Order: sequence, then structure tokens, then C-alpha cells
Amino acid sequence: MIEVTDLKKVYQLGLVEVAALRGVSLTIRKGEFVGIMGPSGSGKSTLLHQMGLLDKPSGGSIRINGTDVAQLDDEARTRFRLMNLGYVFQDYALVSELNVVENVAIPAIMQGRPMPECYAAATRMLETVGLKHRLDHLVFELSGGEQQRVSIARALVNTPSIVFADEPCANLDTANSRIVLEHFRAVNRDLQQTIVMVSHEQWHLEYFDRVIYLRDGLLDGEQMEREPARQMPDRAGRPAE
Amino acid sequence: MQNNGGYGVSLYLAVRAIRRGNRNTLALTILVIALVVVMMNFLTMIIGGVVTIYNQQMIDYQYGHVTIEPKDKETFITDAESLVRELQRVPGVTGVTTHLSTGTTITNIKNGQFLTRGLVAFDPVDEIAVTKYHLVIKEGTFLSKGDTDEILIGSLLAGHEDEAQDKVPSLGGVKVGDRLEVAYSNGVVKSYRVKGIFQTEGVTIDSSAFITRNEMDSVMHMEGMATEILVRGTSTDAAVPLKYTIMSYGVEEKVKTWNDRGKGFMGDAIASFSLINAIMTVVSLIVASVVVFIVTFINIINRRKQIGILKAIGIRRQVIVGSYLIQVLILCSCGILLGILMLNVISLTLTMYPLKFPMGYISPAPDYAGIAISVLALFFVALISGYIPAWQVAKEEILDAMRG
Repeated sequence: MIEVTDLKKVYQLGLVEVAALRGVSLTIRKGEFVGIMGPSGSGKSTLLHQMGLLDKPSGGSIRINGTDVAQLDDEARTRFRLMNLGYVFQDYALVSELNVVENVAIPAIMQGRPMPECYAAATRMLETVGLKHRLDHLVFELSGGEQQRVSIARALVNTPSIVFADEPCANLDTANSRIVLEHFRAVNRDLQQTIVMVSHEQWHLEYFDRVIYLRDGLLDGEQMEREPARQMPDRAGRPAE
Repeated sequence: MQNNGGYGVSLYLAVRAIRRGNRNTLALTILVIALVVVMMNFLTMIIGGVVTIYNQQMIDYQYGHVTIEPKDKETFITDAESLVRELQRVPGVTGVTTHLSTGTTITNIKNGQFLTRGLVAFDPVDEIAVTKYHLVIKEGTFLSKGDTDEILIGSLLAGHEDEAQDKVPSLGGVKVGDRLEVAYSNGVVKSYRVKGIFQTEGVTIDSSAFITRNEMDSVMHMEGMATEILVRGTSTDAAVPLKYTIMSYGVEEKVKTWNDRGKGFMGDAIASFSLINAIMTVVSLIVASVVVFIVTFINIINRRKQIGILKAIGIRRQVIVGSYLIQVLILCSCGILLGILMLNVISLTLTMYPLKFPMGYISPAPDYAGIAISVLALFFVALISGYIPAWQVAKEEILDAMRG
């Protein structure tokens, strides 16, 4: 569960202060697939970065699974990200010097797991996203859609409790976007992983359980699209736990 | 690979960065480090070669392993014969020869050219046991014990008919069989046939002249006296113990090793060389550190985004910095190995084709302890130079780094 209270973020641009978040409070429950939407400059990505511990807030608090993450030092934040969070970025953010399976395995390796286990987990993840035939390829040899699927596999390899995705479909065509969103939907449904995704595409609404709207750094309402995944049946029709 | 989630990951990232990085940059960096290793050690090797040959020349032609000099305020060793007999009984002594030196003016009768020189007299049989003049005869033959009318001179003293070819003042082209006139300090003037010309390549040595002791005694009437006694021991390393053994036998004259006597001019020259070498070493280290800094800095600046990504997905800053330090270590190791290989090739080549120096042909003498120190120093400056830019970028905020 993510609990955000009165979250503020002010950027200092020279002599000018720009308030990107001006006191946002919200709660995201475990197993939800939440979309964050709003016009450009509304603070969507900033909010995601604060919740994902990629940036430090100027004020307010963020509690993730009961931990006040704003109080953590750099080392602890890094550890927290590694053990609990996964990320998918708009530009895929893959490491160009690592091949596909190494890119996916690296968070697992960093956890200190045995190397064969890391590669096995990475291979499984890549199989899940349909890229088992690309294990040894370098990332520049893949299409944008494939790179984003590698990014998703990397985000999921440590089975984090929360996955943050910052406009993951922005550089993809509709077909590839659907593949990515289907993957998110599937892991959200099958593994009950919480997914928080920034988007500006209205048609993505069909994948979200709930949408949080932002405008000018403030909450601008929210809309329930469906019940969270944990209450939905899986692909085989079995009820979720 | 052992994975502990820490420096194992650093190694994992470093190896892949090198394997999949820019090959040209990699090769150039290794080459620059190799050249720095060569720069840091080449002059030392040459100085080592100069010192080695100079020391050997001092031992083989000038001082033996140990030299006995007259007591303080005395010009001659007065009872040289009994001292020689005593020295011959000292354990470790393999040869003893007396030298009697006197000031003379030597004139080339053929062309009238003359030079003032100290003429040294020795017993040829004793001399062979101590020095090696008999092995470096360029023309003619070495002196014999009974020679009274003959002189042995160095190649530089003999010189050339064409003065332009002479490095030092000479007698203007003396050949074996030519006659030289020697004017002694007591007024005696005698003519000698040149029996042999030796060439050691040492400037001072090859400018000297020798006659037999019997001949000198017949002219100067200084029987039983010597200006110095040269002693040969079993090895160069044994010179110092031999000196103290001789002293323990109650020898009252001054007892000096070849090294004691050679400290003067050449010692100063070597000290100056060593200073220049130290300056070059420091400059080389600065060059190496700047190169490693620039390479690492450019490498890291080009990978700012990747560093941001790695931090975002939970890779610790120390692991990222560690991966760059390991890259520096790998590059340095390759560069150092290549540098040592280049040094060996240079050393081998210069051993086969020695450099001509004023004191002779110089082969480089590798100083392995010096090379080890320079390698350690290079590793140290390279690690510092790699660490600073890596740490600077790795401490950046994740989003700033990811923006590239």
C-alpha cells in the first residue's frame, strides 16, 4: 500500500521556484492497477518519481508498505528500490552494454542471488514477455516494443510489490502499446503486483482499475474503472486470493 | 562468477563495459599507459647500464676491487714489495699489482705532437691477474715482463691523423711500431716503440699509457715504491668484506673499495641523472593520471544516463564506482603488461645493438625493483584518477543522471 500525504515538490530553476506538486494526498491499495493522468505539466511524472523514490519530495510524506520512505537515507532508499520496486520508463532505460538477458538479470544479481538462479529468473521473465529468442541480443538490435518488453521483464524479475511505469507506451504504436498493457494487466491479475502508471492516452483507461487525475500539481479527482485485480478471477477463472 | 551483490556486480558490469565498449578507445588507453610505463623506466634502465659499465670499467681497468693508497700526507707507498707479499696472503685475494705513476710529457716523434700525461708502470705478469688491459688490445700486443724499450698506450691517446676524428687531445695518429719520446720529471728523455694499443671505450682509461716496472725503475730509481696497489678479489660483491679483511691484517695505508674511489665525478653525474629521472617519473605519473582521468571522465560522462538507470533499478553507488575502478584496474594491468613487454623488447634490442656512450657501449640494465615501484605508483594514481570522476557522477541525483 502507498500512502501519500500532503506531498510537495518544488524545483529551483535559477531564481525561480516552480511548484510541481502542491500538496497531493492519495492512497493506492495493494494489487491495484492505477493510472495517473492529466495534462502536460500537471505533475504526473513528478508524483511517480516521488513515490518511486527516484527523487526526494520538498514536503509531505510517503509511506510504502508501512515504511516512511521519505526518512530513508540514500543507501536505504537504494536498497528499498531494489527489494520492493520495479520501474518501466518511457525511453526503456536499458543498459546498452548488457545484452537482453543480462539487462533483466541485473536487479536479481544485485540482490545477491546465485548467478544461475538470476539468469533462470530473467529467462523466465523474458519468456513471459515473448522474448526468449532474443536473450543474447544487444538492446540496440531490438525494436522499441521489444525494448519496452525487456524493460518490463527487468521491472518484474525481482517480483517487486509495486511497479511504477512512466508513460511506457509513449514511444510505441498502438499494437505494441496493447502488448505492454496486456503484460501489465496480466502480472497485476496473476501476481497481484501493484502497478502505478502515468499515461495521457484515454484508451488506456480500459486497463486501469482506477485513475487519479492531476492538474497544476494538485489532485483533480479520481475515477474507479473496475474493482482491483485481487478481487478479479484469473485467466483460468479461479477467484483471486 | 561469485555473486555477493556487491563488488561481484562491479566486476560483472566492468567486464561487460570493456568487452562491449569502444575498441579504439580501449586500445589507445592501453597504449598510452604502456608508453607511460616505458617512459618511467627507460631512462632508469639506461642509467643502470651506464652505472654497470662504468663500475665494471673502474674494477677492470682502474681500481681493481680494492685499492691501497699511500698514507695521509705521503705520496708513495714506500715498502710496496712487502705489502704486496702480505696482501697475497689475505684470503679472498686473487691478484695484486703495484702501480707507480709519474708525470711525463709524451711526444709523437713522427709529427711532433705532444701531451702531458701520467705514465704508469706495472709488472705485466702481476697486472694480468688484476686488470684486463691484456684482453682489449686493439693493435699489437700487451707488455712483457722484460720489455724496456716499449710502451702500451690507449686508443684515444694514439688518436687519428685527422684531428677532427679525435674526441680528446691525442698524439695525432700513433700506430704500433711508431716511436714516442717520453720526457720524465727528473729530466730523463727516452724513446719507446709502441708495442700495443688498447681500447676499453672509457675516455680516461683510453687516454693513458703504460711501461714496465723494470723500465720505470731504471729511469726513476724508485725501486720498492708504488703510488697505488690494486687488489682483485673473488667477486664485486666481495669488495667490501675484502677491504675490511685487508684492514684487519694491520695494513696502515688507505684501503678503499672501487666504489669508494669512484664516488666522485661519476657519483655526481649519476646523482644528476637520477634527479632528471625522478622528474621524468613524476611527469610520467602526472601524464598517466591525466590520461586515466580524461578517459574515465569521458567514459562516465557518456554513460551518465546508464549510471542513472543503474541507480534507479537499485544498484548501489559504491557498486557503480567499483565497476569503473575495476575497469581502470583492467586497463592499467593491460597497459602495464604491454609496457613491460615493450621495455623487454627495447632492452633486448639495445642489448643486441648497444648504444654508444662516451664510456663505451651501453646495454640497458632493467631495475626490477624500480619497475615494481613505478607499477604500484601507476596503479595508485590511476585508481585515484578513475575514482574522482566516477564518484562525482555516481553521487548525482538519479533523474539528473538519467536525463544524460
